[in-house]
Amino acid sequence: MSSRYRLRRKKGGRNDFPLPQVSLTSLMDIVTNILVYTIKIFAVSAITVQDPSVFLPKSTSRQDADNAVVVMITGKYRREAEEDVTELIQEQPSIVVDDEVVLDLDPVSYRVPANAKQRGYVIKALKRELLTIRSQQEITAHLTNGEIFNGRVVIIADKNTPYRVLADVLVTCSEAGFGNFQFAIVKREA
Amino acid sequence: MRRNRKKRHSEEIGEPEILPMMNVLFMLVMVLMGMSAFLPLGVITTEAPRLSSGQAVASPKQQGLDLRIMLLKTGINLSVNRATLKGALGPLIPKVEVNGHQIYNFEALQQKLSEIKAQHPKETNVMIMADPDVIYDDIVHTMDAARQSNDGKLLFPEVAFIPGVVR
Repeated sequence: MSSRYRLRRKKGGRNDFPLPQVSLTSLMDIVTNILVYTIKIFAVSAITVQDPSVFLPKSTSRQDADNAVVVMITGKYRREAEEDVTELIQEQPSIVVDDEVVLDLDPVSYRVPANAKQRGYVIKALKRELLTIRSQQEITAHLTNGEIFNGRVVIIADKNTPYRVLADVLVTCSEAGFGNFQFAIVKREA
Repeated sequence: MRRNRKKRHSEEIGEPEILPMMNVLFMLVMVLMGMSAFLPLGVITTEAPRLSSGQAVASPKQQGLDLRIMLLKTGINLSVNRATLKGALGPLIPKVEVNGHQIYNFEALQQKLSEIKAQHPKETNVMIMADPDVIYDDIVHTMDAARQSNDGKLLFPEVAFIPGVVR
């Protein structure tokens, strides 16, 4: 038994041992790694979908999204989790451009109201909004000598969106000059 | 003597306080986790739709085959050079029943497209038409089936849409 140990025993027994300091360095490494990983995921994905009424379809496509205008078609139902049970609650489907609601769809028939369209397919409000964004992008590109307008648009649609709504949105986008479509999907293995 | 010198040295430098930094990093991790959806999101890139009711204005590139996939309520038809390939009593590729649900047979579609690709290896374009009630999920699966075969061979990756009534 060492003399130091005996001395401590005399002073007050085993409980008086000084507590060893917790080494935070390894924990720090773990947290830093998690942080880097999270930032990497965040940097890779140019789009995020947080609307509870949008269920994206799964696809075997491996392509990543670019930064672009986002046109979203929300679904008829939203998820609501309560005590481990996820419920589907009726929701007002709508067309959203860059987080701003442009048009509400008919919740029963899930279609664009006829009075909101012109020439059968073109959604007036959506076209107006996209033309505004286009002119802003062109002005910004002109002032900053940046990338010229490329007509790229990301379509985020609920997987139950009917083709009639999708076709209206696609035709309107191309009418406004946004003819390069990127359909958002959830990647899955082939 | 030596021990004293060591003690003095450690008192001078001192260990860095990393606990506040840990707190900041933890908060950053939490914020980023909250902001990201953690879904592996990707995209499928396509062209603008051609505004017509079936009579697409073919670009020079598309004059070759003019391949179209038509999603009907009852199944899938294909059209090559404006000639629709129909089945004897309905669509070329009828829906199949799985667990009591009628679903499109995308494997059969992929098989048919592989056969067409074998005959026209340079063709890369396909146009999709669909019934207004066909859902987006089925459109995406159609694009997947048209893009590449099961063994990874590229089929018709350049997709365009035709809005309008499908018969």
